[in-house]
Amino acid sequence: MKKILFVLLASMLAFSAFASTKIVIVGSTTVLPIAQQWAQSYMQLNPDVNVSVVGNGSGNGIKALLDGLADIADSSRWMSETEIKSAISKGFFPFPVVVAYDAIAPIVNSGNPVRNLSLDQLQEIYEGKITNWSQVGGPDMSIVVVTRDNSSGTFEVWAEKVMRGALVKPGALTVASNAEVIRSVSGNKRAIGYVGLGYLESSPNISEVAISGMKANIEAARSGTYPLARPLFMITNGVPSGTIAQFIDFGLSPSGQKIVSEVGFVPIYEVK
Amino acid sequence: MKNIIDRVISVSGWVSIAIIVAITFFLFYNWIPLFKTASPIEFFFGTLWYPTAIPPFYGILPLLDATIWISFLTILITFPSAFVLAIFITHVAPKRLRYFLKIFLEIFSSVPSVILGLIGLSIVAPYFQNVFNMDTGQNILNAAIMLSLITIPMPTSMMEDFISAFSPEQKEGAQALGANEFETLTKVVIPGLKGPFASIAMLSLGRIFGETMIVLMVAGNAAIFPSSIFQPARVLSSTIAAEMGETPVNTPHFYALFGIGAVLFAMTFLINLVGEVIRIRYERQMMKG
Repeated sequence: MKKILFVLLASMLAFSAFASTKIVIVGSTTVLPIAQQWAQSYMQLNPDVNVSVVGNGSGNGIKALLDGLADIADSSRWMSETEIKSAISKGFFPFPVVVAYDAIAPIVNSGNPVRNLSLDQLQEIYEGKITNWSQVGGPDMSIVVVTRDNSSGTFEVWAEKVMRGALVKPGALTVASNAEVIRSVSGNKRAIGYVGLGYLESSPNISEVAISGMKANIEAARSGTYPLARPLFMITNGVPSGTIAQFIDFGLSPSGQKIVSEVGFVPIYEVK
Repeated sequence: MKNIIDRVISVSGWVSIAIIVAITFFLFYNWIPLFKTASPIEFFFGTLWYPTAIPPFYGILPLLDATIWISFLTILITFPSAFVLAIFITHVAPKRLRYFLKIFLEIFSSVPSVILGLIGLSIVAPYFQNVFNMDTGQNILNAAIMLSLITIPMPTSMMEDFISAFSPEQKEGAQALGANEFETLTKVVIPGLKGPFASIAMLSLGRIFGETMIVLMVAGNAAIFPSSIFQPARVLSSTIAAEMGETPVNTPHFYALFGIGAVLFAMTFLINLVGEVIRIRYERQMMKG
């Protein structure tokens, strides 16, 4: 027993001596899959660096950064006024880097001819003010609203850009993943839903709905002209340097951006 | 040797009691801070569940309502089916079929619930929509049917045990008085099963309350007060499953989810307690009689 303990202890010591530098990343659950994949690939290339990633919300990430508990804060939104004030009063200089874009697209069943809706129409459909497809130029059938669980990042974008303060009607079907939204909408002619851009392709029986004539696409998401897109940030204290700079550089490199598109987000530049 | 075994058993008994107490404590400990943000009245009687809206709403009444609806409907389907199945196995089926059925039930009860959820979502839901022209097939009825399928084996085998253990003297007595097989069953065996049936119902109910995956996938999860069984509904357990993963730690939303857990725990505990009490009472009665 003692022997095992000794070996365990020794190997732990050896490991900690080996992994000399540590990067702590805390923040948004939306950015979490990107940060995790980056950390994994980065640690494979740099075994002497230990990157730990925690996803507990953008606000908590920024708070951890300002408390000196994190090296990088993941955030799916820009810092709030109070956060910036608090940073300045503590002598911090928050430095944001856009690491990817998050874009979502409304979808309907392919059997439904509606292919275009305005943001206001979408809001009213989700609020429950518009309840029949005939009110928006479709066939006479009721609208079945499919939404995401209210703590998901995708819902966050929808709430921010489409609902704009209004509440999604309580009667909306609520599912827990992009894949389930697709399953619900592809199985129901009356349904409308929304998914991350990465899930749009290769999904049979669903059709994208353009927003006032504009379809979700990577270029529009990048340029900011597509209304349902947002940048995702990693925020550091001051201009990043040393290992932290290396890590972010890796993320912005073609291999890091390839990971971004693999986990369903829009990379900040074209990667092959 | 016996001493050691005794000790091991008593230690594991105490450990499991300690774990239950710790779980209870943990649930309540993480729930209490919610009351800084929302009062217990808001939590229990609030009609809106919008934990991430601004301002947020933490009312679980629609979730509680849906849980009761779905569980009630499931029991309504499960119980008669289990009863018929149990009678069939004990009295009607030929020996070989009986054997086969018992094995089948045992296997069926161990089918992972996610598979039934998938069947409900990809077969039953579109069927409801196309054949009955429902707005959505992800609704209470679908969830109740799928839940029944996974619940039925448990009460069936319990009922079957009770029926086959029914005292042969009483049966023979009835037959001696000229009752045929059917009359013995309806006049003697079934009336004698009231006690155990109530406790079986309670135990099944406990299982239904806790089942998460099927309801999450099939019930549609709309936090409304359903007015018919063709509407979607959201239950307590699936709310935790859908939201816990991405909820920031130590926020009111997080505390509220623990609150839901505590409520669910209390309900299951009470139901099982009632079930056990009924069972023990019945057994005492049997001893006396």
